[in-house]
Amino acid sequence: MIEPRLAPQRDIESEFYWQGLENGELLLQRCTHCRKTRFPAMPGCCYCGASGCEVVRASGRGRLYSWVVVHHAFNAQLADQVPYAIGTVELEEGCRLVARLDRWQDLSHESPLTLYFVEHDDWTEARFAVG
Amino acid sequence: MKTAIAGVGYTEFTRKSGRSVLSLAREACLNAIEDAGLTPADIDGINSFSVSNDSVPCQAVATVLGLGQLRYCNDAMMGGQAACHLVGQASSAIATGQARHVLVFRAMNGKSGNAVGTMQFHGMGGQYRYPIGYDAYMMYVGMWGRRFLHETGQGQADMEAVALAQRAHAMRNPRALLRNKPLTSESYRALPFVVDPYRMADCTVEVDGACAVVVTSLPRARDLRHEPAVIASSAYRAGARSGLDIGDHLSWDDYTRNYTSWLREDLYRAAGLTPKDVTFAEIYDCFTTTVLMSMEGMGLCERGEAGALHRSGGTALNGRLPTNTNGGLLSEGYLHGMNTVCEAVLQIQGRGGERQVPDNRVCAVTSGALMDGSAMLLTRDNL
Repeated sequence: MIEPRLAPQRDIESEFYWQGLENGELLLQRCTHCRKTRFPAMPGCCYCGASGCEVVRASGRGRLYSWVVVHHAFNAQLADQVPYAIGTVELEEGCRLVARLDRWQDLSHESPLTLYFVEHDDWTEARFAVG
Repeated sequence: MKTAIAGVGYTEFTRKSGRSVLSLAREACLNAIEDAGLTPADIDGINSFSVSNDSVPCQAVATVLGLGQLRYCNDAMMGGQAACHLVGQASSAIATGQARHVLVFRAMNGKSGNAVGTMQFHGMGGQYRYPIGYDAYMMYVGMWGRRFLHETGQGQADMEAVALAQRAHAMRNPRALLRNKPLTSESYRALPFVVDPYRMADCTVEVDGACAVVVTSLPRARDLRHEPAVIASSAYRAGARSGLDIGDHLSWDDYTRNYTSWLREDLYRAAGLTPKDVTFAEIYDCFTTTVLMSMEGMGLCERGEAGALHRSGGTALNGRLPTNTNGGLLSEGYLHGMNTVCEAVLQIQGRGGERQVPDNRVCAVTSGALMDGSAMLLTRDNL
């Protein structure tokens, strides 16, 4: 597979997350007040509004909440990658993220998903294997 | 104080205007002013919306219209969620005596210039989307659309029914960009997917152009040229956990219910109406699934039934709920929902011509697709 030539625009809030992926870990914030995990990284809890959080390591298991299959590359750099699937992954920990899936056909809602890592030049991607 | 929309103005809709956005805005506003039976000297308020600088500031439009003093002005950085909301804000300015006649417009070179469909919305959530090619608005709406279809037991046949019903309306609309492009089930199904679940016919058609309305008090509107389109109520809603930016939906609970589900109770209550009172609908339709989701969210049909309503002809002119009578954003052209509002006004005023809705007493109008948006109930006067 050809590498995407785009790297994430990391910021102060998200730096720990991208570092975590580089270390082979999917790190999530969990609110110390209401105990809910959240994604993306943010400075306050979107569920209860509290300030404190801790970082937890996700199991890497989730289920497929929804997906799209991209047949037309809106970014010309990705023209050689279509078709590809993007899934909304419902992690075991309760929050969601979006990620590439390892296939774009024969997908179904609630399919079990397993995290794996894809190394790019200057960043590491969280991707999910279906089934 | 009750308020109403008194006039409507449009430019031609084209694929390449060859004009500045400022010129388009000016023309649509002049047409709306004239349509209302007013002059530029009567206008003392103006608002508009834009995405990533694809339009011009209200002060510029006021300047080239030769307006006098402005008592109210707002440039909203908002997309399709804005149109009803901005009419509602104009209405509030009028009801509190801050302004008397307010223009609400949208102008863009949406086909020949910056197109929202390919814009980047980096925000704080963008770092998680762009590197993996999750980078176009169509993908975000499609992500919700697929989950919605799954949970409500609907599918491609229901999306197709929306596309076909609206293209049929467009055939009677001289302004519609796709008025000469009939769509059949065969031609729909032959189209390839752009972003599955969407084919081209499930998506809006980009356009260069502008349209505008004039909002004023109901008593003043009664003295003007056309029947007032009474603003019985308007509402804006952003659901809880609407995300870090327009493309971040990860904290949003339920992709099968958009803003319409959350604002509908307040909207109907404020107007003293119920969904059963609605006689036709102009529903924001950036994509076919948005029509299905929003009609159900607005209570215009039961959950899971919007597709069946379309398939049975219920949204045709002679159906129980004519919907998107100009062909919608799908077939008239994508002016980010401002033309959705304008069509509602024309129909209320009995100016729909060949596509006039027989029972035009109460219209439900929506603006937006996902976490946030706005809606209005427009009615005939003296209902």
